[in-house]
Amino acid sequence: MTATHLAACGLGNGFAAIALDGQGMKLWQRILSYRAHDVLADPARQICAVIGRKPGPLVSICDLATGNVLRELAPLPNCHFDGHGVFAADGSLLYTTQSEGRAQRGMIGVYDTATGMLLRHFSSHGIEPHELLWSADGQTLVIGNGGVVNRNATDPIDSSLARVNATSGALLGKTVLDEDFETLSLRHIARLADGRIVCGAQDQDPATDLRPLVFVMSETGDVEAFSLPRDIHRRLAGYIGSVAVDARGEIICATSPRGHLAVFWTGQGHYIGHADLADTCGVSATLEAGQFMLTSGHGMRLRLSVSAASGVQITEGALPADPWRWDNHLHAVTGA
Amino acid sequence: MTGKISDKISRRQTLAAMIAAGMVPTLARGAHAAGPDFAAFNAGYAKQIVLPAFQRLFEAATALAKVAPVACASGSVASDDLKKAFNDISDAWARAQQFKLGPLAEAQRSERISYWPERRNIVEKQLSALLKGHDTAELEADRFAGASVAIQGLPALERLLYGEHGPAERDDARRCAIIRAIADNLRTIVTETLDGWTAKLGGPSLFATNPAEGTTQAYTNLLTIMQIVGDQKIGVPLGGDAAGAKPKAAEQWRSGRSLHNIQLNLATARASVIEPGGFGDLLGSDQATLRQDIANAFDDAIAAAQAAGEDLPAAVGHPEKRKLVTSLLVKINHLRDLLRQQVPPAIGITLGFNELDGDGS
Repeated sequence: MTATHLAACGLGNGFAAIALDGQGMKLWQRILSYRAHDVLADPARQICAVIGRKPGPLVSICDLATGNVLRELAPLPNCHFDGHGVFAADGSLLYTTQSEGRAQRGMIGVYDTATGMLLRHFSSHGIEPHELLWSADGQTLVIGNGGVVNRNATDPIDSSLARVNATSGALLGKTVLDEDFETLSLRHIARLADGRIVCGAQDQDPATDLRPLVFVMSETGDVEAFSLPRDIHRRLAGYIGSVAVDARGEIICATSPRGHLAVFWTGQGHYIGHADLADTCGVSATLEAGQFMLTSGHGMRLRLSVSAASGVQITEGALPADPWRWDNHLHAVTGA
Repeated sequence: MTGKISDKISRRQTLAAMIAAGMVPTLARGAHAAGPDFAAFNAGYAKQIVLPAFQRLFEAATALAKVAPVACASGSVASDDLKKAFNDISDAWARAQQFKLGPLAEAQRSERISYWPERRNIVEKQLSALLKGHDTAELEADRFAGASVAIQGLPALERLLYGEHGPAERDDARRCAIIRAIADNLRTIVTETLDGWTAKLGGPSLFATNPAEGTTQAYTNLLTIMQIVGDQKIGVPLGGDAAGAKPKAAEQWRSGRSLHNIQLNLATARASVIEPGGFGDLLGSDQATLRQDIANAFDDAIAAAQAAGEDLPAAVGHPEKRKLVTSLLVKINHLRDLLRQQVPPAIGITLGFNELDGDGS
């Protein structure tokens, strides 16, 4: 069997990484000495990368079929990993988000996955970078600079979506929201089939306004906010934990673990509906168009079929519970 | 009561398979027994722990709404009576703030009572604008209840009584009208909250869809207030060192209540675990050691909060006194670890850590 989904999870009072097979059964489970955040696959090289949750002490490169640890990556000096990474298209390189020092200056560390060597690094062109992904050209990294130095403090934040050349590290464009939205931390991103980037935000001051939380950015950096019904909007609690698009890259899902629900739009910004699941955060596409799998911190999984015509339908219910408390992100292995 | 199955009743059927597969060794001890009676627990928790807190808050809000117009009529807005009423309702709020599930989570009631921590100096900006205005309609109950949370509750009232817009400022009539609007508004919000809880009395699930989820939400509230106390009320003012201290990041520093609020928050948290009707009722008779550990950790934290004195903003910037605050934070973090890691499996709930944790820090 091959892995179809990967995730970090809590297990007892400890932490693990998990791979599921096509039947949704456990393929392997790797106990970790640290809490991980995202786990991503490179099927061509049959490896996966388990990324330490902020402030992440390391990244483990594992065998995709067995979960055996092949090598461990250390962060840049005076830096920690920020929970996300992305493989280069051929899998020989891993790009990771990292923050440096107290000021949390954003860095991208580039590693050789075969040796574990740090090859080079460049600026994320922002503070506290979080998720990153490839734009459609395969040359440009889109980086969500969360901009939050201390999530408990009330200091102004400095968040942006940066487009950076992955070879030179040069900044190609930087999108910052209007002053009205200056409390939004842009953290999670996914890419639509047409190349636009979906971004989920976390509002550092949700009590003072009902600000939009999901945006779509064009390849030239223009942003558009997606709307949704007011009662559902309030339920999001100013917090998007993860975003994903379906296999065709046409339907968008955003999860809110604080509101205990997931919401869906078409790529054109037409609101489709929502699904309730306590403490849901992880979401990924499955191989079929319009289908998603949601996970929760209570060990629940929910499979959904979503379309503009039929709305949100549960195709497989949440019971029985897994022994794993699913952590923030669920990663679909594509091209396996 | 047996409280050792670390799962919810609805999932019991999966336990046997999980234990057989060796996936959940810690569950095996309690697997023979039925799950905890969350429905009975929830009913007792609402009646014995939560309701008294909201009754006290209601009494304090009612008193404030009575005092405000009297103080206005006497021409002494910042009277001792009004300040006492403000302190009484602030006390009552610190004792009730933890119970966020249900009414306080709806209609932004919690934030409307006390929007804190404040960002972008928004209370000051909104309150200044309101004070400069002349429109009496914006102070009418319905409109005021729909205004920015920054001006609706205790932080704005504190500024009017103790702060930049205190007694020295002119135009007492406007200031007085705003104080009355805040007092009336607080009474309405608190009444709605109390009514919401009263209507649920005796129910099995609190405000959730099933009893186990209700208990889980109530317990998550406990962890959240401990997080607010540790990270926001203490950690941010304390900073990394005396030079990095932020005394004005302390809660209600203008009225000198920062540490007192922490003491009251801790007292409520303790009661919600230790007192009859609290989460300790869900511990099994064989959990005496854990029960004692929890009691000790609460006692240590509360003692440290008393030892830290009365003036948190002054202490955090003082090389010697800040050691007492650091010591308090250490005790609170130990207590948080215990409440977070050891208690949930012992009382039979699983926590959703996505909701609580975010992306890391």
